[in-house]
Amino acid sequence: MAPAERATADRVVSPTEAALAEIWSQVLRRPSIGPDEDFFRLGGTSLKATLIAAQVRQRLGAALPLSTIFECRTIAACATALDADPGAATG
Amino acid sequence: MSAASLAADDWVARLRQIPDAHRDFVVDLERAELEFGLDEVAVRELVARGLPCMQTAEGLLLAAGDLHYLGLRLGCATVYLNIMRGWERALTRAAERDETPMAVRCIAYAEEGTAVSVIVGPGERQDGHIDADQVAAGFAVRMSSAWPPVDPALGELWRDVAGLDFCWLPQALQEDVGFVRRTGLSDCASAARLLADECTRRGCEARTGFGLLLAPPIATQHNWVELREREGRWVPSDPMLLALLTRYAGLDPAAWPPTRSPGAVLLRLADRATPLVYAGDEPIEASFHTWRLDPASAR
Repeated sequence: MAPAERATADRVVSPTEAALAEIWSQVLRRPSIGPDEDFFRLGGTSLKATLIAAQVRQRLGAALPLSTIFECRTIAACATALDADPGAATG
Repeated sequence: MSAASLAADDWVARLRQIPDAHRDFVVDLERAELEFGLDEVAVRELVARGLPCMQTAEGLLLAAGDLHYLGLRLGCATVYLNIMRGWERALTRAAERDETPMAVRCIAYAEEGTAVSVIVGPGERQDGHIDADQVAAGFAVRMSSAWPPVDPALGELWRDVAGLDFCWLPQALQEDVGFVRRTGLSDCASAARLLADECTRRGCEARTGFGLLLAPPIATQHNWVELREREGRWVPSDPMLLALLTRYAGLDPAAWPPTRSPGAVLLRLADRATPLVYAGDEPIEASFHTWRLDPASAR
Protein backbone atom coordinates (compact mmCIF):
# COMPACT_ATOMS: atom_id res chain seq x y z
CA MET A 1 0.00 0.00 0.00
CA ALA A 2 1.29 3.44 -0.88
CA PRO A 3 2.14 5.50 2.21
CA ALA A 4 -0.49 8.10 1.37
CA GLU A 5 -3.22 5.52 1.09
CA ARG A 6 -5.32 4.19 3.92
CA ALA A 7 -7.39 1.06 4.15
CA THR A 8 -10.97 1.07 5.35
CA ALA A 9 -12.97 -2.04 6.17
CA ASP A 10 -14.11 -2.08 2.55
CA ARG A 11 -11.27 -0.89 0.37
CA VAL A 12 -8.23 1.29 -0.04
CA VAL A 13 -8.84 5.01 0.27
CA SER A 14 -7.07 7.29 -2.20
CA PRO A 15 -5.02 10.27 -1.01
CA THR A 16 -7.70 12.67 -2.30
CA GLU A 17 -10.39 10.71 -0.48
CA ALA A 18 -8.33 10.77 2.71
CA ALA A 19 -7.87 14.54 2.46
CA LEU A 20 -11.56 15.08 1.76
CA ALA A 21 -12.53 12.76 4.62
CA GLU A 22 -10.52 14.90 7.04
CA ILE A 23 -12.27 18.05 5.82
CA TRP A 24 -15.75 16.51 5.81
CA SER A 25 -15.19 15.16 9.34
CA GLN A 26 -14.19 18.56 10.64
CA VAL A 27 -17.02 20.46 8.94
CA LEU A 28 -19.72 17.87 9.69
CA ARG A 29 -18.31 17.28 13.18
CA ARG A 30 -18.07 13.53 12.93
CA PRO A 31 -15.09 11.50 14.13
CA SER A 32 -14.90 9.60 10.85
CA ILE A 33 -16.79 9.47 7.59
CA GLY A 34 -16.67 6.63 5.09
CA PRO A 35 -15.98 7.33 1.41
CA ASP A 36 -19.46 6.27 0.37
CA GLU A 37 -21.50 8.02 3.05
CA ASP A 38 -24.08 10.48 1.71
CA PHE A 39 -23.46 14.18 2.39
CA PHE A 40 -27.12 14.97 3.04
CA ARG A 41 -27.71 11.91 5.23
CA LEU A 42 -24.81 13.17 7.33
CA GLY A 43 -26.75 16.41 7.86
CA GLY A 44 -24.93 18.35 5.18
CA THR A 45 -26.44 21.75 4.39
CA SER A 46 -25.65 24.41 1.82
CA LEU A 47 -23.55 26.26 4.39
CA LYS A 48 -21.61 23.12 5.25
CA ALA A 49 -20.99 22.47 1.55
CA THR A 50 -19.68 26.03 1.29
CA LEU A 51 -17.39 25.42 4.26
CA ILE A 52 -16.09 22.21 2.67
CA ALA A 53 -15.44 24.00 -0.63
CA ALA A 54 -13.53 26.73 1.21
CA GLN A 55 -11.40 24.20 3.10
CA VAL A 56 -10.66 22.27 -0.10
CA ARG A 57 -9.49 25.49 -1.71
CA GLN A 58 -7.39 26.44 1.31
CA ARG A 59 -5.80 23.08 2.11
CA LEU A 60 -5.66 21.34 -1.26
CA GLY A 61 -5.38 24.40 -3.49
CA ALA A 62 -8.23 23.01 -5.55
CA ALA A 63 -11.75 24.07 -6.38
CA LEU A 64 -14.59 21.74 -5.52
CA PRO A 65 -17.74 23.47 -6.82
CA LEU A 66 -20.82 23.35 -4.60
CA SER A 67 -22.76 21.82 -7.46
CA THR A 68 -20.26 18.93 -7.50
CA ILE A 69 -20.81 18.30 -3.79
CA PHE A 70 -24.59 18.41 -4.27
CA GLU A 71 -24.49 16.07 -7.25
CA CYS A 72 -21.72 13.67 -6.20
CA ARG A 73 -22.78 13.56 -2.53
CA THR A 74 -20.01 11.22 -1.32
CA ILE A 75 -16.33 11.63 -0.58
CA ALA A 76 -15.49 8.95 -3.13
CA ALA A 77 -17.44 10.61 -5.93
CA CYS A 78 -16.14 14.09 -5.06
CA ALA A 79 -12.57 12.76 -5.02
CA THR A 80 -13.08 11.18 -8.43
CA ALA A 81 -14.40 14.48 -9.77
CA LEU A 82 -11.47 16.38 -8.27
CA ASP A 83 -8.89 13.91 -9.62
CA ALA A 84 -10.50 13.71 -13.05
CA ASP A 85 -10.88 17.40 -13.70
CA PRO A 86 -7.86 19.39 -12.60
CA GLY A 87 -9.10 22.24 -14.82
CA ALA A 88 -12.19 22.65 -12.68
CA ALA A 89 -10.06 22.08 -9.64
CA THR A 90 -8.14 25.22 -10.33
CA GLY A 91 -11.11 27.28 -11.51
CA MET B 1 -4.45 53.21 19.49
CA SER B 2 -4.74 52.19 15.84
CA ALA B 3 -7.68 52.90 13.57
CA ALA B 4 -8.31 49.16 13.36
CA SER B 5 -8.51 48.93 17.16
CA LEU B 6 -10.92 51.84 17.31
CA ALA B 7 -13.08 50.24 14.65
CA ALA B 8 -13.12 46.93 16.53
CA ASP B 9 -14.08 48.72 19.74
CA ASP B 10 -16.91 50.47 17.89
CA TRP B 11 -18.19 47.21 16.36
CA VAL B 12 -18.16 45.44 19.72
CA ALA B 13 -19.95 48.39 21.35
CA ARG B 14 -22.64 48.22 18.67
CA LEU B 15 -23.10 44.50 19.19
CA ARG B 16 -23.43 45.00 22.93
CA GLN B 17 -26.71 46.82 22.27
CA ILE B 18 -28.16 43.32 21.85
CA PRO B 19 -29.08 42.08 25.33
CA ASP B 20 -27.07 39.01 26.38
CA ALA B 21 -30.34 37.31 27.32
CA HIS B 22 -31.12 37.02 23.60
CA ARG B 23 -27.78 35.48 22.68
CA ASP B 24 -27.25 31.78 22.06
CA PHE B 25 -23.65 31.01 22.98
CA VAL B 26 -23.14 27.94 20.82
CA VAL B 27 -20.04 28.63 18.72
CA ASP B 28 -16.76 27.16 19.95
CA LEU B 29 -13.32 28.31 18.89
CA GLU B 30 -12.99 25.67 16.17
CA ARG B 31 -16.25 26.75 14.50
CA ALA B 32 -15.34 30.43 14.96
CA GLU B 33 -12.26 29.91 12.83
CA LEU B 34 -13.76 27.49 10.31
CA GLU B 35 -16.99 29.39 9.65
CA PHE B 36 -16.18 33.01 10.46
CA GLY B 37 -12.43 33.15 9.85
CA LEU B 38 -11.69 34.32 13.40
CA ASP B 39 -8.85 32.37 14.97
CA GLU B 40 -8.35 31.99 18.70
CA VAL B 41 -6.02 34.99 18.96
CA ALA B 42 -8.54 37.23 17.22
CA VAL B 43 -11.44 35.92 19.29
CA ARG B 44 -9.61 36.43 22.58
CA GLU B 45 -8.66 39.97 21.57
CA LEU B 46 -12.28 40.75 20.73
CA VAL B 47 -13.41 39.22 24.03
CA ALA B 48 -10.88 41.45 25.81
CA ARG B 49 -12.54 44.38 24.05
CA GLY B 50 -15.92 43.35 25.45
CA LEU B 51 -17.31 40.82 22.96
CA PRO B 52 -19.94 38.83 24.87
CA CYS B 53 -19.00 35.21 25.50
CA MET B 54 -19.63 32.34 27.86
CA GLN B 55 -16.87 30.35 29.54
CA THR B 56 -17.83 26.71 30.00
CA ALA B 57 -16.00 23.58 31.10
CA GLU B 58 -15.58 22.71 27.42
CA GLY B 59 -14.15 26.11 26.58
CA LEU B 60 -15.17 29.52 25.33
CA LEU B 61 -18.52 29.85 23.55
CA LEU B 62 -19.66 32.77 21.41
CA ALA B 63 -22.77 33.90 19.54
CA ALA B 64 -22.90 33.22 15.80
CA GLY B 65 -24.46 36.60 15.01
CA ASP B 66 -21.63 38.47 16.73
CA LEU B 67 -18.97 36.51 14.86
CA HIS B 68 -20.75 36.93 11.53
CA TYR B 69 -20.95 40.70 12.07
CA LEU B 70 -17.28 40.98 13.03
CA GLY B 71 -16.04 38.50 10.42
CA LEU B 72 -17.67 40.47 7.62
CA ARG B 73 -16.29 43.78 8.79
CA LEU B 74 -12.81 42.40 9.40
CA GLY B 75 -12.90 40.78 5.95
CA CYS B 76 -12.07 37.34 7.30
CA ALA B 77 -15.50 35.65 6.98
CA THR B 78 -14.56 34.43 3.52
CA VAL B 79 -17.25 31.77 3.44
CA TYR B 80 -20.00 34.34 3.88
CA LEU B 81 -18.27 36.81 1.59
CA ASN B 82 -18.18 34.11 -1.09
CA ILE B 83 -21.87 33.38 -0.56
CA MET B 84 -22.65 37.08 -1.07
CA ARG B 85 -20.53 37.15 -4.22
CA GLY B 86 -22.69 34.29 -5.47
CA TRP B 87 -25.80 36.39 -4.77
CA GLU B 88 -24.25 39.31 -6.64
CA ARG B 89 -23.46 37.13 -9.66
CA ALA B 90 -26.95 35.65 -9.65
CA LEU B 91 -28.58 39.07 -9.45
CA THR B 92 -26.56 40.73 -12.19
CA ARG B 93 -26.95 37.69 -14.45
CA ALA B 94 -30.72 37.43 -13.90
CA ALA B 95 -31.06 41.15 -14.65
CA GLU B 96 -29.54 40.63 -18.10
CA ARG B 97 -32.65 38.89 -19.37
CA ASP B 98 -36.37 39.51 -18.96
CA GLU B 99 -37.08 36.07 -17.60
CA THR B 100 -35.05 33.13 -16.29
CA PRO B 101 -36.51 29.64 -15.90
CA MET B 102 -35.23 28.05 -12.70
CA ALA B 103 -35.56 24.71 -10.94
CA VAL B 104 -35.69 24.35 -7.17
CA ARG B 105 -35.11 21.17 -5.20
CA CYS B 106 -35.80 20.68 -1.50
CA ILE B 107 -33.60 18.36 0.56
CA ALA B 108 -35.22 17.44 3.88
CA TYR B 109 -33.41 16.09 6.93
CA ALA B 110 -35.63 13.19 7.99
CA GLU B 111 -35.86 9.49 7.28
CA GLU B 112 -36.45 8.25 3.75
CA GLY B 113 -40.16 7.62 3.25
CA THR B 114 -41.30 10.29 5.71
CA ALA B 115 -44.49 11.98 4.52
CA VAL B 116 -43.83 15.70 4.10
CA SER B 117 -45.59 18.83 2.97
CA VAL B 118 -43.39 21.52 1.37
CA ILE B 119 -44.42 25.14 0.84
CA VAL B 120 -43.71 25.82 -2.83
CA GLY B 121 -45.64 29.07 -3.23
CA PRO B 122 -47.94 31.42 -1.32
CA GLY B 123 -50.73 29.16 -0.08
CA GLU B 124 -49.37 26.32 -2.18
CA ARG B 125 -47.93 23.04 -0.88
CA GLN B 126 -46.41 19.99 -2.49
CA ASP B 127 -47.16 16.81 -0.57
CA GLY B 128 -45.06 13.68 -0.93
CA HIS B 129 -42.45 11.50 0.69
CA ILE B 130 -38.73 11.94 1.19
CA ASP B 131 -37.11 9.82 -1.47
CA ALA B 132 -33.90 7.79 -1.41
CA ASP B 133 -31.90 10.92 -2.29
CA GLN B 134 -33.42 12.91 0.61
CA VAL B 135 -35.42 14.97 -1.89
CA ALA B 136 -38.75 16.15 -0.49
CA ALA B 137 -39.96 18.26 -3.39
CA GLY B 138 -38.93 19.84 -6.68
CA PHE B 139 -40.52 22.51 -8.80
CA ALA B 140 -39.83 24.96 -11.61
CA VAL B 141 -40.39 28.71 -11.64
CA ARG B 142 -39.94 31.55 -14.13
CA MET B 143 -38.17 34.48 -12.52
CA SER B 144 -38.94 37.89 -14.02
CA SER B 145 -36.57 40.84 -13.92
CA ALA B 146 -39.17 43.30 -15.20
CA TRP B 147 -39.81 45.14 -11.95
CA PRO B 148 -40.15 48.92 -11.63
CA PRO B 149 -38.09 50.90 -9.09
CA VAL B 150 -39.61 52.24 -5.91
CA ASP B 151 -41.50 55.55 -6.15
CA PRO B 152 -38.94 58.37 -5.77
CA ALA B 153 -41.05 59.76 -2.91
CA LEU B 154 -39.84 56.78 -0.87
CA GLY B 155 -36.21 57.18 -1.91
CA GLU B 156 -35.02 58.76 1.32
CA LEU B 157 -36.61 56.02 3.42
CA TRP B 158 -35.02 53.39 1.19
CA ARG B 159 -31.61 55.04 1.52
CA ASP B 160 -32.03 55.17 5.31
CA VAL B 161 -32.72 51.45 5.46
CA ALA B 162 -29.81 50.75 3.11
CA GLY B 163 -27.64 52.51 5.69
CA LEU B 164 -28.73 50.32 8.63
CA ASP B 165 -26.03 48.29 10.31
CA PHE B 166 -26.57 44.72 9.08
CA CYS B 167 -26.44 42.08 11.77
CA TRP B 168 -28.01 38.66 12.34
CA LEU B 169 -30.51 39.55 15.04
CA PRO B 170 -31.73 37.04 17.60
CA GLN B 171 -35.19 35.78 16.67
CA ALA B 172 -36.78 37.61 19.61
CA LEU B 173 -35.68 40.96 18.16
CA GLN B 174 -36.50 40.35 14.49
CA GLU B 175 -40.00 41.79 14.77
CA ASP B 176 -38.93 44.57 17.14
CA VAL B 177 -38.90 47.63 14.90
CA GLY B 178 -38.32 49.79 17.98
CA PHE B 179 -35.01 48.00 18.58
CA VAL B 180 -33.96 48.69 15.00
CA ARG B 181 -34.85 52.38 15.31
CA ARG B 182 -33.00 52.71 18.64
CA THR B 183 -29.83 50.85 17.71
CA GLY B 184 -29.52 51.03 13.92
CA LEU B 185 -28.90 47.26 13.91
CA SER B 186 -31.07 45.27 11.54
CA ASP B 187 -31.35 42.04 9.63
CA CYS B 188 -33.41 41.28 6.53
CA ALA B 189 -36.56 40.40 8.48
CA SER B 190 -36.53 43.50 10.68
CA ALA B 191 -35.66 45.77 7.74
CA ALA B 192 -38.60 44.35 5.79
CA ARG B 193 -40.90 44.82 8.78
CA LEU B 194 -39.74 48.40 9.30
CA LEU B 195 -40.24 49.27 5.62
CA ALA B 196 -43.68 47.67 5.45
CA ASP B 197 -44.80 49.49 8.61
CA GLU B 198 -43.40 52.82 7.47
CA CYS B 199 -44.92 52.54 3.97
CA THR B 200 -48.28 51.64 5.44
CA ARG B 201 -48.06 54.64 7.77
CA ARG B 202 -47.45 56.84 4.71
CA GLY B 203 -50.46 55.44 2.91
CA CYS B 204 -48.63 53.07 0.56
CA GLU B 205 -49.85 49.50 0.33
CA ALA B 206 -46.98 47.30 1.50
CA ARG B 207 -46.35 43.85 2.92
CA THR B 208 -43.43 41.70 3.93
CA GLY B 209 -42.32 38.79 1.77
CA PHE B 210 -40.48 35.60 2.65
CA GLY B 211 -39.04 32.95 0.44
CA LEU B 212 -35.87 31.98 -1.37
CA LEU B 213 -33.04 34.03 -2.79
CA LEU B 214 -32.12 31.98 -5.86
CA ALA B 215 -28.37 32.02 -6.46
CA PRO B 216 -27.36 28.74 -8.11
CA PRO B 217 -26.65 26.29 -6.71
CA ILE B 218 -27.92 27.62 -3.38
CA ALA B 219 -31.39 28.92 -2.54
CA THR B 220 -31.24 30.87 0.73
CA GLN B 221 -34.23 31.70 2.90
CA HIS B 222 -34.70 35.45 2.94
CA ASN B 223 -37.10 38.30 3.85
CA TRP B 224 -37.92 41.45 1.90
CA VAL B 225 -40.66 44.07 1.46
CA GLU B 226 -43.20 44.31 -1.35
CA LEU B 227 -45.10 47.37 -2.57
CA ARG B 228 -48.38 47.34 -4.47
CA GLU B 229 -48.39 48.87 -7.94
CA ARG B 230 -51.40 50.74 -9.30
CA GLU B 231 -52.02 47.77 -11.60
CA GLY B 232 -52.25 45.54 -8.54
CA ARG B 233 -48.95 43.70 -8.87
CA TRP B 234 -46.74 43.36 -5.79
CA VAL B 235 -43.19 44.55 -6.43
CA PRO B 236 -40.36 43.07 -4.31
CA SER B 237 -37.78 45.47 -2.94
CA ASP B 238 -34.78 45.09 -0.64
CA PRO B 239 -32.50 48.09 -0.05
CA MET B 240 -30.59 46.31 2.70
CA LEU B 241 -29.66 43.38 0.44
CA LEU B 242 -28.43 45.73 -2.29
CA ALA B 243 -26.41 47.72 0.26
CA LEU B 244 -24.79 44.52 1.55
CA LEU B 245 -23.89 43.36 -1.94
CA THR B 246 -22.50 46.77 -2.78
CA ARG B 247 -20.36 46.82 0.36
CA TYR B 248 -19.16 43.23 0.43
CA ALA B 249 -19.67 41.65 -2.99
CA GLY B 250 -18.76 44.25 -5.59
CA LEU B 251 -22.30 45.07 -6.78
CA ASP B 252 -22.21 48.24 -8.87
CA PRO B 253 -23.96 50.92 -6.77
CA ALA B 254 -24.61 53.10 -9.82
CA ALA B 255 -26.50 50.30 -11.54
CA TRP B 256 -28.15 49.11 -8.35
CA PRO B 257 -29.43 52.02 -6.23
CA PRO B 258 -31.42 50.97 -3.14
CA THR B 259 -34.69 51.69 -4.96
CA ARG B 260 -34.06 49.14 -7.74
CA SER B 261 -35.88 45.83 -7.36
CA PRO B 262 -33.82 42.65 -6.94
CA GLY B 263 -37.01 40.71 -7.68
CA ALA B 264 -35.28 38.68 -10.37
CA VAL B 265 -33.78 36.46 -7.67
CA LEU B 266 -36.49 36.62 -4.97
CA LEU B 267 -39.03 33.79 -5.00
CA ARG B 268 -41.97 34.57 -2.73
CA LEU B 269 -43.28 31.61 -0.74
CA ALA B 270 -45.06 33.23 2.22
CA ASP B 271 -45.89 36.54 3.87
CA ARG B 272 -43.36 36.14 6.64
CA ALA B 273 -40.64 33.82 7.87
CA THR B 274 -41.95 30.32 8.43
CA PRO B 275 -40.63 26.76 8.27
CA LEU B 276 -41.02 25.53 4.70
CA VAL B 277 -41.18 21.77 5.26
CA TYR B 278 -43.48 19.86 7.60
CA ALA B 279 -43.89 16.24 8.62
CA GLY B 280 -47.47 16.36 9.83
CA ASP B 281 -47.60 19.48 11.98
CA GLU B 282 -43.92 19.33 12.87
CA PRO B 283 -41.50 21.56 10.96
CA ILE B 284 -38.38 19.77 9.79
CA GLU B 285 -35.03 21.13 8.69
CA ALA B 286 -34.44 21.47 4.98
CA SER B 287 -32.13 23.07 2.49
CA PHE B 288 -32.92 24.23 -1.01
CA HIS B 289 -30.87 24.02 -4.17
CA THR B 290 -31.50 25.73 -7.46
CA TRP B 291 -30.25 25.81 -11.02
CA ARG B 292 -31.08 27.56 -14.27
CA LEU B 293 -33.15 25.57 -16.74
CA ASP B 294 -32.16 27.38 -19.90
CA PRO B 295 -29.97 25.15 -22.09
CA ALA B 296 -27.15 27.69 -22.25
CA SER B 297 -26.64 27.53 -18.48
CA ALA B 298 -24.63 24.87 -16.75
CA ARG B 299 -26.40 23.25 -13.86
